[in-house]
Amino acid sequence: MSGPVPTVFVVDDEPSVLKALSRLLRSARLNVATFDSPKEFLERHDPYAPGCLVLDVAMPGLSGLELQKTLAATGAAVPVIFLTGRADVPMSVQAMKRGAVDFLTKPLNDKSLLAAVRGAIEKDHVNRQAQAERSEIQRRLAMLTPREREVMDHIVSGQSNKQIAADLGTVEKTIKVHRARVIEKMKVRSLAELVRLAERAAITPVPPMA
Amino acid sequence: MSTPIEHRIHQRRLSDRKKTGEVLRESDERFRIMADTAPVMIWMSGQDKLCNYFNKRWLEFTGRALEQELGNGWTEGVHPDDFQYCLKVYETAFDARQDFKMEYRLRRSDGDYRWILDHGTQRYLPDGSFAGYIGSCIDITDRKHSEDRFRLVVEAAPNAMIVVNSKGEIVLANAQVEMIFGYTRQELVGRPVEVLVPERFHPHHPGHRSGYIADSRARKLGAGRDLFGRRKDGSEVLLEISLNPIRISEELFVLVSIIDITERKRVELETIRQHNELAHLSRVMIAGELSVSLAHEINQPLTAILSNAQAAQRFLDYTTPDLDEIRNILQDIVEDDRRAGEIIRRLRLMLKKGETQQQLLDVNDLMQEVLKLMRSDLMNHNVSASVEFEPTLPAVRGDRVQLQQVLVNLIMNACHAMTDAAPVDRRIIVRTARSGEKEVYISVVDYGRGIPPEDMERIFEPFFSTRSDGLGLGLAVCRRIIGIHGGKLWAANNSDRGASFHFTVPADPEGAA
Repeated sequence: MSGPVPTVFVVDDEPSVLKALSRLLRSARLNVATFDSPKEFLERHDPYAPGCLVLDVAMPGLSGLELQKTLAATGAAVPVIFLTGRADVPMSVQAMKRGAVDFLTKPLNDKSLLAAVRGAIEKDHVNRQAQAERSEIQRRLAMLTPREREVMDHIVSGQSNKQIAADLGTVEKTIKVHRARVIEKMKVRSLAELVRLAERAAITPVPPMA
Repeated sequence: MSTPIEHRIHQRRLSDRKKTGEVLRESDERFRIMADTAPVMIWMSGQDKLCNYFNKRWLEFTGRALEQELGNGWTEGVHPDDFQYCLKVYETAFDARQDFKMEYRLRRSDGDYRWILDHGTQRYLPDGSFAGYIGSCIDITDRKHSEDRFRLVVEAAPNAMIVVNSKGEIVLANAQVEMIFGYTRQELVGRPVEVLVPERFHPHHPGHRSGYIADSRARKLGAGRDLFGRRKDGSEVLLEISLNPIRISEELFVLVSIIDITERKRVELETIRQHNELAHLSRVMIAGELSVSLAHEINQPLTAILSNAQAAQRFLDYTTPDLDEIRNILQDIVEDDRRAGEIIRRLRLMLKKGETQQQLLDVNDLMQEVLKLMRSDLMNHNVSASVEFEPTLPAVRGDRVQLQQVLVNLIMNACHAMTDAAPVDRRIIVRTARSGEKEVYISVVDYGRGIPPEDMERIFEPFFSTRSDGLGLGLAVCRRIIGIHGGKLWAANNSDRGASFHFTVPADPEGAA
């Protein structure tokens, strides 16, 4: 992995638990940042910092679940590992639905915590790569003229130049020029590559006209 | 004409010249005048034990002629039941040449028998030879009657009663005494009162007794401690005893009133035992409710301990372990373990069963303990607690466990009353105050749904519960606990919203907080 070192963000209102978890993670040579309340985390957290979040479910004020919700709303999709004092099935289901990577019961075994944390960091890494890729595609898409973008939407839905020309009410030769520009600006070498890119950027193909 | 005194002097001058016989006759005459005008009845007997003289007052009393009374004639007037006794006392004393005193009934001229106190004294002739007895008698019927009335009152009294003289001898005992102690009255009269006292108290008892005689006031014995009596069969009996000094003709007697409280004590103990059982049952239920949050609370230090220990194991695997780090870890493990132990101690205290223990308590401390115990429960209910403590609270005397139980109950009820409340309203205030110098005043205020006015008193009845999972014992037990502590527990709705529970506990007169 390249880029900044991932950090494990630990949020627990119980100081002794916070300290112990921090030590355990450091003993496994992980980078750790601790917060004694969800509020403090929200104030200090940098959404661009890679890593994962280890979050106690039951805390006074903002609960762990509520923090997860708030983070999701701001688009900071850092993977969350929940810690709970008791196995509470409905709560864990709710948390998992919102994208928690794991739900661990205290007292934690070091192996399961470390495995969960490593998994979450890996997931964050993958997420961030995908996110970076999406951003790059969007950047390239932003360079297309409206007409080129229109042509691209038709290309990725598998239409021939002739069909596109008919759809857009122009001649095939013009479409060919646009297609070459699209291929160049999107930095792809083939039609297949362009289609894959469009998929990643979640571009909806235009259905052929009847 | 000569004055009467001159006349008497003249007479004496005359008598000087009279013969000895004349002098004797004259002194005899003087005696008769004196004896006949004395306010007592007088008799005389000779060396032959027979009576040879009765004064005028005697004869007026019996309404008989001197001739009828002389010799043994007077005994005809003695009550037949007392005759043998009279004769025995008189003859015994006579033979031993001793003065005597006897009480007997003598028939009066109107036919009524009257009680007579008769003092007999030996008399001697001028030459020192024994001449017989001279006796003086007074009518003591009225005194006898009041004595009889006293006996009757003692006998009819619902309590066991004994009368003890200043030497500590039992002079009177009623039938109730026989029932309690198993002795007959004949066995008791004349014996020292210690016969009714267990032997282990014997060394001090006569001292207590003379102390009482020296400062005799009516009072109850053994304030605040159990008094025991000893039955004839040696078994002991729990007693309540009060003493009353009574004076009968210059002698001090003590009227001892005794109540057998074995049964009363047994019922008292049984009531207390039942209360303690119920209080314990109620605590078990509370502990059951608290156990979820307490488990969570214990889980925190356990989590910290495990993670710390496993971190230490990993650090030790480093090529150059940081020993300071490991030292800190071990220190934290020790502290967390203590913390877990403390939570368990609090829970165990709550579940403790058995005798109540009275001790001096600081209510503020007690309250802090309870809030610690309930910390996670309050969090589970999403309830915040604030305290308003009076810093200079006098100490109270009471049972720590039971008073904590009351506080836990009230706080728990407050939490339950707010389950429907909006999160911002889920708060309680715990307040302590002094109410005058003599009481400590504790309030638990909630912002819940309040109490319907018709339930304001019913909530303190056993088995009244608004919750489907409650036994309805909590508040009934709480009220009893506070009652036993000499205080009051009541509820009231707040003017804005929610309800408050208040209770008072008397401040200990000796204890400073």
